[in-house]
Amino acid sequence: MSTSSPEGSRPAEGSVQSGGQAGSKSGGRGRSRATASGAYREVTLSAIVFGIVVGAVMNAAITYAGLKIGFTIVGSAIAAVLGFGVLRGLLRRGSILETNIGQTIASAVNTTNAGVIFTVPVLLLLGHSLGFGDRDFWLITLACVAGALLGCVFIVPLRKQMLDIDRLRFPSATAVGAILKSPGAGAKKSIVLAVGIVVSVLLYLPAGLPAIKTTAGVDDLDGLVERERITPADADRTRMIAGWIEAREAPPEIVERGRLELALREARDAAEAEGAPESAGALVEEIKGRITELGVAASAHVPLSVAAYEASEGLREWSSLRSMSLGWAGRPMWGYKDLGIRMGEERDAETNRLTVRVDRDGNGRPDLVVTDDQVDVGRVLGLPDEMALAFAIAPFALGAGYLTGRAGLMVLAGGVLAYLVLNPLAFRLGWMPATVRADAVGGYALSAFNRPLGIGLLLGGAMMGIVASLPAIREALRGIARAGRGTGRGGGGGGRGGRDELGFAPLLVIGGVALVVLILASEFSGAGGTTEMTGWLAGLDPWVARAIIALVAAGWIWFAGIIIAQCTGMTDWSPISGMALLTVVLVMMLAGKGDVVSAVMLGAALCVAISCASDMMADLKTGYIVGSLPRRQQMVEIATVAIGPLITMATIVLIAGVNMKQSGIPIGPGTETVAPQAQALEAVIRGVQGGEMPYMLYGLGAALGALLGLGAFSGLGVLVGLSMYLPIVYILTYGLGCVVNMLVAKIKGRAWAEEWGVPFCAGLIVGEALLALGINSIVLLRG
Amino acid sequence: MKLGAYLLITICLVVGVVGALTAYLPRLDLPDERLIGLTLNDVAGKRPAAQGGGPIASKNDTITAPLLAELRAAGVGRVRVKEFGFDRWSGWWMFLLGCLGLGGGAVVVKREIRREIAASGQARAEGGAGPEEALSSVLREVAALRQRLGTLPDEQTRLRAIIETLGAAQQGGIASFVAARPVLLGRLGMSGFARLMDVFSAAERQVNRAWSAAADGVEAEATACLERAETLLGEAGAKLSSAASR
Repeated sequence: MSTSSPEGSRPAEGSVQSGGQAGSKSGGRGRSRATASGAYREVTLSAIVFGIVVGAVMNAAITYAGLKIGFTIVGSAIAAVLGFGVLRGLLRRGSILETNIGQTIASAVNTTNAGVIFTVPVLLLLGHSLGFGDRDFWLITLACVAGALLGCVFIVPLRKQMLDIDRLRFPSATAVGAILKSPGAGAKKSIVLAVGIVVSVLLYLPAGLPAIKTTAGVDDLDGLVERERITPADADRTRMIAGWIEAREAPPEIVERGRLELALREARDAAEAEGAPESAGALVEEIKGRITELGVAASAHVPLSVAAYEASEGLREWSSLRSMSLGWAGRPMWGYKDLGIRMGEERDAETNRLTVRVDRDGNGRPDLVVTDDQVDVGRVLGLPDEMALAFAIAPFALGAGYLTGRAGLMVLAGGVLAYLVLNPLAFRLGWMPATVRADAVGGYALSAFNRPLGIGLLLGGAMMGIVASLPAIREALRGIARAGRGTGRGGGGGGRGGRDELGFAPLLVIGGVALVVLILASEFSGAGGTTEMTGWLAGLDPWVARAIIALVAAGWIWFAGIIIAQCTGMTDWSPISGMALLTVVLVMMLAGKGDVVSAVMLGAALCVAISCASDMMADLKTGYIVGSLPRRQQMVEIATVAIGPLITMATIVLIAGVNMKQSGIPIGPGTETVAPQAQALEAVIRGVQGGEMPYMLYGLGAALGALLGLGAFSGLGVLVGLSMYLPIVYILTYGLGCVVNMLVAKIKGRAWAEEWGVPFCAGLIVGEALLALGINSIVLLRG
Repeated sequence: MKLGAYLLITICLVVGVVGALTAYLPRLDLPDERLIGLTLNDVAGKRPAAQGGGPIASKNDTITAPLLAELRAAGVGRVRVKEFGFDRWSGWWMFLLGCLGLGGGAVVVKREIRREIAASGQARAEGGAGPEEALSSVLREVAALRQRLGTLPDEQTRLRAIIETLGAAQQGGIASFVAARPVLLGRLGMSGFARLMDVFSAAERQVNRAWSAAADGVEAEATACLERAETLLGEAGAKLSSAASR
C-alpha cells in the first residue's frame, strides 16, 4: 500500500521506463523506487511500520540506558543507516525519501525519552509512587503526549525562518542527509563516508569498550587496582564476597539485614494491597526501624545482603554471589586508560610524597593523563590546576564541529572564556570557598555561576534572535497562511499551487487539543485542583490558577522550543536540562514550592516538547537536503510522536517495579538504574525549596546575552551561553572540528572542504552513534 | 576597526560577567548591618590544618556577628549568600561598564558591516560576481540540463546527467548564492531577504528532490522537479532584479 500524497508527482503514462539505473549505484531498480502507479516512493506503509518499530525499540532501550548510564543517543543517524538496511536492503525498494520518512518517524518516536528520563524519575527519587494504577502516571503521560504535540505544532511555523531564511546548519541532520544521499553520491563519496565511520569506530572503540565488563578473578584484583580500573574498596569488597563463597557463610548481621529486607518487601506489598489493615503500615515502619538498628550493616549493599541471606538459607548457590550486580568487581575491556599514560613523577622535597599537582587523588601514583574518555592536555602543558584544558575522545563532537564550521568558533570562544579565564580568575580572587581545590574549580563554578549565567545568556540571546528575526518570522507565517489557502510554492510533488507546509487550521486544532489536555493534566495532577496555591498565584481559585500555570507553561514551551531548535541548528548541542530546570523553577514559583508533582509534570511536558521541536526541525533539515516535502514529514511526525512518551513512561514504571522487587528502591542510588540526570534535577528542586536559586544571575546573564546579540550576529548570545553551560571537554573537541574545517577550507578551498568533509564527518557522527548503541546493547543484554 | 570592535565586545563581556559574578558574593568589609542575617549558600572560610582544615561556616548558616568576626579574622574576603541586594553588589559598575561596551561594540560592528556591504556592492558594479550571477548560473544550468535531457539516448545517461549537473550546481551556484547572505541582507533588508529566500529555497528543494529521484532511478519525478525548479529559480531571479531596481 502506498500512502503517497495525492498531489505527489504522477508522471505521464509510460514515462517511467524499464528500471533506470541511477548514477552508478542504484542498481537498475528505478521502478522499485516508484509506486505501482509510478509515483516516487515517499510516505509508504513500509516506511511507517519501519519507523515505528525501530523508534519504539530504540526508545525503550535508550530509556533504560539513559537511566543506567546517564546519557541518551539521538536516533536519526542510526535509523537512517538501519533504513538503508531494511528498506533498501531487505525489502529492496526504499527510495532516499522513503528512508528519510522512516528515520523521521523513528526519531520522533525515540526522541521523547530524553525529556522524560531527565524529569519523571525525580518523582521516584523524591519518594512519590508511580505505577500503572496511579492517576499521576496517566496524567504525566498525557501531559508528555500533549507536550510532544505542542512542540511539533509550535515549531512547524518556524521551518521557513530557520531553514529557508536563516539556513541553520543542524550538523547531525546534515550528516543524516549525507548518509541518505550516499547511494547516488558516487563511489568515492560513499568510500569517504565509510572511511569516516571506520575512523570513528577505531577512535571511539577504546573509549566505549570499557563499559563492557566481565566478572574479575580474585587474582586480577591487584592488577585492576594498579591500572585504576577499580578502587581498593572494590577489591576489598570482592575479596570479602569471595571469602563468604569459600566459607559458604556470611557475617550474621549481613544475613539478618537480608532477611529484614525480604520481610520489608513482603510487608510493603501487604500494606499496598487493597483493604490492607493499618497494622500493615505499622509493620513496615517497625522493620525499617530494625534495619536502622543494625547500624553499620544497615549500610551494606541491599541486593548483596539479600543474596547472602538466600544463600545461607539454601535458596541460592553461594557461587551466585560472584556477580557484578551484587558488588563483585568487574574487569572492563581494554580502553585508552590501559595505555597507562601518566603525569611525570614530582615529589615533595620534605615528605618525598608525590605532589598534589601530579597525584590529585592521593593514591600514590601519578595521575593518568589519558583516561577512557578524555585527554588532559592542560596537565601535560603544565597549566595551573584551575585551568581546564581536556579534550573528550568523541568523534561525533569533532564531526559536529567540522560541520558547523566557522560559527562554531563562538562556542569555543565562550568555553575558553568560562573555563580558562573566568573560573581561574574567580578562584584566584578568592571568590570561591577556600575549601575548593584548584582542580575542582570547573565543577564548582559550573553549578555556582556558570550554569545560571550561561542559561541567562542563552535566554537573552534567544530573545534578541527572535527580535532580529521578526521580519523573517512574519514572512514565514505568511507562507503558512498561503499554504492554508493552497497557494504555496509547489512542493515535492505538488507543482504550482501545491502546499509545502501544514496550514494554520490543522496546527490550531492539534495545538488546541494538546493545550486542553495539558490544562486538564495540570488541574488534576499532584494535589489536584482543589488545593490552595502558595506561590505567586496564591489567593486565586486553584482551578483557575492551575489553568494559568498550564497556559504559562505552554507559552514557555513555545519560547524554549525556539531556543533549543536554534541551539541545535547552530551547534548540534541541546540545552534541554537547562530549560527543564527553568520550567520546574517557574512552576514552583507560580504554584508554590510544595507542588513538586505538577512542577515535574510540566517540566516533563516541556522537555518532551522541546526535544520534539528540535528533532522535527532537524528532520526537516534532512528532508530539505534530500528534497522531501515538509508537509509530509510534518504529518508523519505529528501522527506518530505521541507513541514515544507512552513507551518511555511504561519502561520507567517497569524498571521501577523490578528495582522495588530487587532492592526496595524504585530508582536511583542502590539500584541498577541510578538516573544521574534526574538526580541533578532533584538537586535543583531541593535548591529551589531551600531558596538557593541565584535568580539575579539569570537576569544579568540575560542582559549580557541580549546585548551580545545586538551586533553582527543575533545568535551570539545563544552560542556563548551554551558554551558556558556545557562541559569544556566536549566544547574543546567540537572547537577542534571547527578549526579543522577552517584549515581545510583555507588549504583546499571551501567547495572541497564541503564536498569531501561532509561525508567524512557524517561518518564520524554515525560511527560513534552506531558503536555506542552496540556497546549499550551488549551492556544491557549482559545485565 | 571591526577587529577592534570585536575585541571590545570580548573584553566587555569578560568585564560584565566578572561584575555579575559578584552579585551574590558580598564583601565582608561591608558594615555589619548589611551582612548579619544573610544566609550562606556555600561553605565559607577554612580552619587551619591543625583544627582539621574544614570550613568555618556551613551552607545554610545565618551570618551572625561572631561568625562574621571569625570569617574576617580568617582572612575571608567574600562569601556566597542566598539573598541579593543592590547595596551589597560590589561589581555593579563593572557590569554596567560591560553592558555599555557591548552596546558600543555592537554599534561599531553593525556600521562596519554596512560599510563592507556597500563596498562589495561597488566591487560588483565594477565587474565582480554577485548573487545575481550565482542565481542566473544555476538557472542556466537547470535550463540547459532540461534541454539536453531530450537529446540523450537512454534513461541511464539522462539520470547520470541530472545527478552530475545538479551535484555541480549544489556545490557551485547554489552555495555561492547562499554565501551572499550578508550582501543580500544589506541590500534587501530582512523582510525582502526573507521573501527572496522563500522562493529560492523552494527552488533549491526541487533541485535536491530531482537529484534524489535521479539517484533512485525515478526519471519522471526528477524531470518534473527540474521543471518546477526552473520556474521557481526564474521567479527568484525576478524578485532579485526588481529589488535591485528599486
